[in-house]
Amino acid sequence: MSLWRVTQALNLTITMRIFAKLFCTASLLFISAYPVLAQKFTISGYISDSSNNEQLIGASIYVTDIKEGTATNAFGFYSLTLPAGQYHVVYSYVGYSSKSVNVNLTENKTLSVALSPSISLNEVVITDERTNQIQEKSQMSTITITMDKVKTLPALMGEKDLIKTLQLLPGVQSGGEGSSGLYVRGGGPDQNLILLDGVPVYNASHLFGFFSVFNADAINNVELIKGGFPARYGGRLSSVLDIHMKEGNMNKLEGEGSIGVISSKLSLQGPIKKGKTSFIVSGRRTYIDVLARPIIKAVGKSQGGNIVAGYYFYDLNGKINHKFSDRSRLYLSTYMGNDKFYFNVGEKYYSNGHENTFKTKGDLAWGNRIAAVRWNYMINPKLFSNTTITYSKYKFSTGMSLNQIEWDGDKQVSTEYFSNFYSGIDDATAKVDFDYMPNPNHFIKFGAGDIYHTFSPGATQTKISSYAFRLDSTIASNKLYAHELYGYIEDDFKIGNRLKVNLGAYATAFNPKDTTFFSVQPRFSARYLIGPKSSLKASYATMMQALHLLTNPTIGLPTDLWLPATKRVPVEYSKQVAMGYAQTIHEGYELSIEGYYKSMSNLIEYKDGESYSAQNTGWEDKVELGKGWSYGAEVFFEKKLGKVTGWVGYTLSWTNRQFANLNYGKIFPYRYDRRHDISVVVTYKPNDHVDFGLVWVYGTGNAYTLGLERYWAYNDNVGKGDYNYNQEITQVESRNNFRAPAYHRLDLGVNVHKPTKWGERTLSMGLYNAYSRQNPFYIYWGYTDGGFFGGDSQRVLKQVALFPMIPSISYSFKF
Amino acid sequence: MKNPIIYILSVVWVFASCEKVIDFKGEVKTPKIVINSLFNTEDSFKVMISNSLSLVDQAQLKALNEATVKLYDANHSLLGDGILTTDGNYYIPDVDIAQGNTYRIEVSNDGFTSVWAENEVPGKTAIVSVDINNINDQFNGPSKQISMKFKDDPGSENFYMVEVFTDYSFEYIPGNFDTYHSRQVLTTNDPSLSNNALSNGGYASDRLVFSNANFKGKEYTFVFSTYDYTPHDSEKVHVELHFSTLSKEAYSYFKSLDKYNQTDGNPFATPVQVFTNVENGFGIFAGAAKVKYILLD
Repeated sequence: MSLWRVTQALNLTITMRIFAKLFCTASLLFISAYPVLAQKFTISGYISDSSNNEQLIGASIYVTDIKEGTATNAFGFYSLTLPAGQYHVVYSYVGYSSKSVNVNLTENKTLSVALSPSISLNEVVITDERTNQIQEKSQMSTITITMDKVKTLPALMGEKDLIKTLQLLPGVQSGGEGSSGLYVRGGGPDQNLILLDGVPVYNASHLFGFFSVFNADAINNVELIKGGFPARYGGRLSSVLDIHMKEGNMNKLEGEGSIGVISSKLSLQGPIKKGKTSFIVSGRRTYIDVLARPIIKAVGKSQGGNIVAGYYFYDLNGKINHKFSDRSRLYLSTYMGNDKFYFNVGEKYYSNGHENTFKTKGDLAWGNRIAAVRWNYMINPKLFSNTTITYSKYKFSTGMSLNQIEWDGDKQVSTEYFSNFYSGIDDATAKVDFDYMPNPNHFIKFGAGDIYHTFSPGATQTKISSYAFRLDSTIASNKLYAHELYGYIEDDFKIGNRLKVNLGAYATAFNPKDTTFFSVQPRFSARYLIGPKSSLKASYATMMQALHLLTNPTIGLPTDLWLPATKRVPVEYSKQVAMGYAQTIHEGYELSIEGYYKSMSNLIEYKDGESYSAQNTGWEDKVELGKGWSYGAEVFFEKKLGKVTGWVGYTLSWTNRQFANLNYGKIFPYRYDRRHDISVVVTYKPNDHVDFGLVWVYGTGNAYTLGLERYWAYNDNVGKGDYNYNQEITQVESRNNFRAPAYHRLDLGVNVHKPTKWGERTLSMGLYNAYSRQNPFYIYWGYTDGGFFGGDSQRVLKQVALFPMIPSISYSFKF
Repeated sequence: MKNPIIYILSVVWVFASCEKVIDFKGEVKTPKIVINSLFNTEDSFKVMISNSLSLVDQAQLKALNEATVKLYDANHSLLGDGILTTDGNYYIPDVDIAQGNTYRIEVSNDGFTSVWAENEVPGKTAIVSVDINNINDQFNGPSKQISMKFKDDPGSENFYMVEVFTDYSFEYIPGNFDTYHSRQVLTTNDPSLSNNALSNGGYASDRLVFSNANFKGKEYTFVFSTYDYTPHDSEKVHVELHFSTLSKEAYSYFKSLDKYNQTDGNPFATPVQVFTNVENGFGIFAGAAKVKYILLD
């Protein structure tokens, strides 16, 4: 056994010991808590939507007599341990009618409650509930988005998009026009842990980033965490996006679908066995390729050739949910999505009676596959477990082939060319999570897991065969394998009436081939009530990211290459501290103000001149290591209830990078450094038949690297003779030295709902970029048209904008 | 969806990018003095002086023929003034460029901020041996493979440049020869450079610039190939191998310029900053210690 293997084995043993200590600590907590709680009893159960039995995540349980409460976990489960007695318990959830129950607590009780969606808009659905109000939560920098909100807002080409809605929140930026990337508090798009039913999603975009992979019809709940990360999350530096799919209606068969400008979708959900087993299936596909095919073919024929070309994407979500008993439940969920661009061109011509042919075809494809099996088991009324096995795969491939047959006199000359590139990442994960609620003052979560990563960093196969030249080459990086082992423990607990703290730690060991990285990451967040409706908050989190993403720095392409940290390019770290103020101004009006500072180390950037396509160099040679930091302030004012809802968000931030071997070692702004970012989101629902949406966004222009000066290069005049010339260099003064014009856009939309015999139909109309602002997508130095002789051609700065005002219409239905 | 053509046209319209000229609101850079000089131990002191311009300036770049060029040694003692020879090219007479010496240049010109640069000539590296073999290249054509052995100076970070120059003379009329002096394209699979190769055929350039990172302090054989320079009838060919030890600044400049040329116009590549060591201006002022080896005479 080689020395490094022995070292790794020892290291893993040490890590296991750390995890064992964490679990021992957790066990001691139970033991120490138990005698104290011996004379108490527990109410536990699930809170669900009465219309479909969907579990409600984060619903509130509040005991008015003692002003104590809790909230449901990610599976709708709650547990509240109280001294024996009579209690008035209120169950509530935003958008639902609350329910009060009198409980005579003389023994442990299971009490599952179904809440009804509120019918009247004017109905005040939340009264005494406090536990769910912003000032009460110890967690900060966290925002939950309802899917109803996502569906109400106007969207590009009518495609309701979760990620685009998240981009409207303070501290979250889009990369550029149309992008579905998330840039959270100065972090990159690779630094977001995107979980779909607990499974990481590696590439969340369709159509070169213009749409996200998440089908709004299949999603139940979304939570975005920008800082103060609870210890149960790890593996990424900048944010956690925790998406839960719908579980499927346990009561009756339901369907919904839509026909839009570029795609159609259909979802079906219902019971397989009423009250026991349910399913949901949801699919979406674009049809540009199908509709464009005859046109492209006709164009090809008119040019004397045969052309087939197109682009499509699809995604499919499926889930089965089976309830074995009140204590035990199983979920099977899957997602698969693909994007594909393809072309196939054929030409024929005749010379000297011979047929000459030219055929070329190519494709570009990428997509995710995800599967998860999750088993919930209530070990006892205070202890809830969730065991999960998941699989996640992202692959990208591109290929091109050319076949040419020509006649040189009577000799047939053929040329063949074939090239193929493949890259991807596969994850297999096993994990177990526990929620332990010994009393209303403590909510303990702990768990452990192992992610087994398989990286396929890229293989290029090239074959050339011609009369003059033959080549058959495969340049491939070997597959890489790594375990990412982790454990965590956190406790959300109260100290007195005003202070609530979430304290925890996440420990991880990552062992790629040549080394092992260890990290214990402390997590802390707290709130201190300064009044019944307001609190001060603070948080600190250290995060480690074991994966690097090589992505194209200039144009958004799906060429993402996920790679493990190595000795030369070690794991990334971030440390973030945040402080804030939260207030419920009036019922349904919330305000939060936060300031943050985040530092990041071991970030990677391409070296000057490098790009993803230079496959003949090792990836470690292409990148430089450096650091980054971001700081700023965010204001978020939200109105959650009433006919008019929405929010105003404002971010003031600075984000910089520094690399020893880039930009002469000097500090430079991150490409998405955005000084000001404003979003205004309003929905107005005067009645149940119509609702209006308005979105306005403004952001400081992105930073571009742009040469501003030119001069002659060194020229020793050798071999130039009379044709001596001087090469002109465009000098790049520093990275990201130029600011593009500001980005702003107004979107408008209206949804008209009409009840029918079979359900409801909705006609949605939207206007993206209503005042047709030409926002910069790309900036470059070009030339004016110099006329026929090119005499007056002048160098000018040009801007490419993608989307002018775009109207959209879609028709959707529910039954 | 009764008329798919309308649909397609609307989709195309939707996706059609819209390009426009925008006002440049950045800083309009004032012209600067540009110094370009790779001074070496086998040559006289020459320097090229020109100007830079903002990209929004539509004027042509030009040589500066009225610049004041002063060359100093490390103690700031004046070694000489530049004398204009041809367009923008200055010659500083009576300067014996020696290894280990530091030279400082100061250039001023009316209407420009004065600029200066300083650099040291590194120590020479001797060629131990040269072997020449006739081989076939990847296209099955004849070429010369040259194996040059040298001893890397231990204990320091060294940088090298290999060039091959030919004087090619062709007798187009009996007794009359036309001569062309040129630098040849060289190809190598040496690990110091093959990482920059654009194809499997190896890295190709008329200047092979590399560091000693892979062979510090060792005797090393650098293998490269060039065209088959064997003269035919009516031809005379003189071929010289120039092996230069570069200063770090010269190495940084040529490496970044090479990367710049490889990626210029590639929208996917990260923009390249070409190295400069000229204070208040642009260009390169760097020393080299050169040894020559005649490959064919």
